[in-house]
Amino acid sequence: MDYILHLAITMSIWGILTLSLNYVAGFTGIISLSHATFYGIGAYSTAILTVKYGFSFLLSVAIGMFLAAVIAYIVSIPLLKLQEDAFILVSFGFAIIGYHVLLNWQSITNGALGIKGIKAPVIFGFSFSGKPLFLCLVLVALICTYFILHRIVKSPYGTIMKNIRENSIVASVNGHDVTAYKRSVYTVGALFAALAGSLMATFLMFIEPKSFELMISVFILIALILGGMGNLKGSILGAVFIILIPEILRFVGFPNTIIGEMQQITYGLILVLLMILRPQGLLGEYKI
Amino acid sequence: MLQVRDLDLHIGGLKILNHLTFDVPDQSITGLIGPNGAGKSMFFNTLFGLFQVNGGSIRFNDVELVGKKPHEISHLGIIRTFQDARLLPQITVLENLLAATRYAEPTTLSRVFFHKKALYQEYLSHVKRAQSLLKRVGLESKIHAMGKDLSYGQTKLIEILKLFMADNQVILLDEPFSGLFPEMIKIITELILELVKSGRTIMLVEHNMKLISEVCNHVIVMDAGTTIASGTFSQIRSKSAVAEAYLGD
Repeated sequence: MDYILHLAITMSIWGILTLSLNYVAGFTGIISLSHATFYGIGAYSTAILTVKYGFSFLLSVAIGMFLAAVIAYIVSIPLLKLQEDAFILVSFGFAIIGYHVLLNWQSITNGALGIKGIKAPVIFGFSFSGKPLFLCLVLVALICTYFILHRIVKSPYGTIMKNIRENSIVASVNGHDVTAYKRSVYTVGALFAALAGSLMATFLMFIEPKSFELMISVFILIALILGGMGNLKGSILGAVFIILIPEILRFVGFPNTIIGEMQQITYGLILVLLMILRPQGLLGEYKI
Repeated sequence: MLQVRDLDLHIGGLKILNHLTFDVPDQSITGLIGPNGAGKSMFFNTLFGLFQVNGGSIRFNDVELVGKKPHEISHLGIIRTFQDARLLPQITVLENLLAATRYAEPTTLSRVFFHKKALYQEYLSHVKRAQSLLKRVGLESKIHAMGKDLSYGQTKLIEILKLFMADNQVILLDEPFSGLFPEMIKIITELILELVKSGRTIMLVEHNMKLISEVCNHVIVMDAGTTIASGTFSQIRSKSAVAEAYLGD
C-alpha cells in the first residue's frame, strides 16, 4: 500500500509538472527544455526557507512560485526574441546554468550534498505527514492546477495562445501582441512548475541538484508528448506513464546495475516510436 | 487615406522597394498589379512591419506606420491575408475565425478570471457571428473541422470570413482568387464587394486582369519596386508601356 501511495503522489506531482509544460509548449508552442530549472527553484525555495529559516510551508511555496515567476519573466525577455529552434537550444543552455547554480552555490544550496531534513507540510496547524494525507494535499494541488489552466485554455485567451502556436505572424497580424502573450505563458508555466517542486521537496524530505538537471526537463517533455500536447488530460496520462515505466522495468528483471540506462533507453525508444506512429501522443490535439 | 511616400526596402543589396509612392483612396478597391517580383507582396509585408525599411513613410489617417509592430498596425485598423492561404491547421474553423476577432477590452488573464461573465458574453456574440458567416457560405457543417482538413477553396473562403470577424477598416488581400474555380471566385468577389459597401478600403494584389478591371476603382502598377502608373483600369490600360508589359495588349 505504501508503495502504491508513493507512486500515486509522484504521479500527481509529475501531473502538475507536465500540465505546466503543456500550457507552455502544448498550447503556445514554446518548446522549452528549461522546465526542470523552475521545478528546482520551487523545490530549493521551500527547502531552504523551511529548513534554514523556519518559514511556514505555505509561505515558502508562495515565495518559491513568485521567485520562479520573476526569474522566468526576466529570462523570457531575451529568450523569447529567438525563433523556435534557437529558443530550444538557449532554453537547453539555461537548464545547464540552472543546474550548475544549484550545484555550485554551496552557501545557499549545500551543493552536491543537497538539503535534507525537509519537514512535511503543515497548513494552519494541520500536518500532512503521512502518505495518505500527503496524497490528499497533492491531489488538491493537481486539481487546482488543472482547473486554473483549463479555464485559461478554454477562454478566448486560450484561443489566442493556440493561434500563436500555429503561426505567430498570423497572430500578430490578427492584432495580438505575441511577445507579451508568450512572456505571460512562460511565466505562468514556471509558477506551476515551482509548485510541483515545492511539493516534491516536502515529499522526499531531501533534494539535490541532480533532481533538477537537464534530463529531468527532457523527461517532462517526453511525458507531455506521450500524453499528448494541447490536451490537459493527456498531461496527467503522460505523467502516469512516465512514472510507471521504470516501475514496470523493475519487474522485468533487469539487473540493478543497468536499470537506470534501460529506463533512459526505453524513454528514448518510446519517443522515437511516438514520433513515427502517433506524433500527437495518446490524447493529443497538436503535432509538433 | 493610406499614403505611401518614397518607401525604400533593400535586402542584401537588392532594391526590393524603390521610392515607392502612391495613395489609396478610402472606401475603394485599389488593385496592385505588376509582374512577379515587382514587390507587391513585399509591400504588404513591409506595411505590416515584417521588414525594417531603409527610408520613406507609410501613413494611415495621419499616423506613421513605419516602425510599428504588426499588432500595433492591426490595432490601427489594418488587416491582411497571405498569398499562401494561412489557415491555422491544428485548430478548428471556429477557432480560426475567433482568433481574428477583437475584444472590447484586451484579453488578459485578469479578465479570464475576474470578468469571466462579460468576456463570455462577448465570446458568445463572436461565436454567433462566426456561425452565421459560415452558414451564409454553406460551411456551417465545417465549424468544428480542423483547418488542415479543409480544401484549398474552403481555406481561401475562411480567410475572407476572417476579415468580417476582424472588422478592420483597411484590408490588404494578397491574391485571394489564385487557384480557385469560377464559382468560388464569384462567391469571394461578392464578399469583397460587400466589405467595400460597408465602408472598408481594400488593396488587392491580383494577376487576373479581368477581375481587376471588374472590381477595382483604382489601379496601381508596380515594377522593380516602384510605381510606374496609377489611375482607373482604362487609364492605366491606355498607357502603352503598361499595356505591353502587363496586360498583354
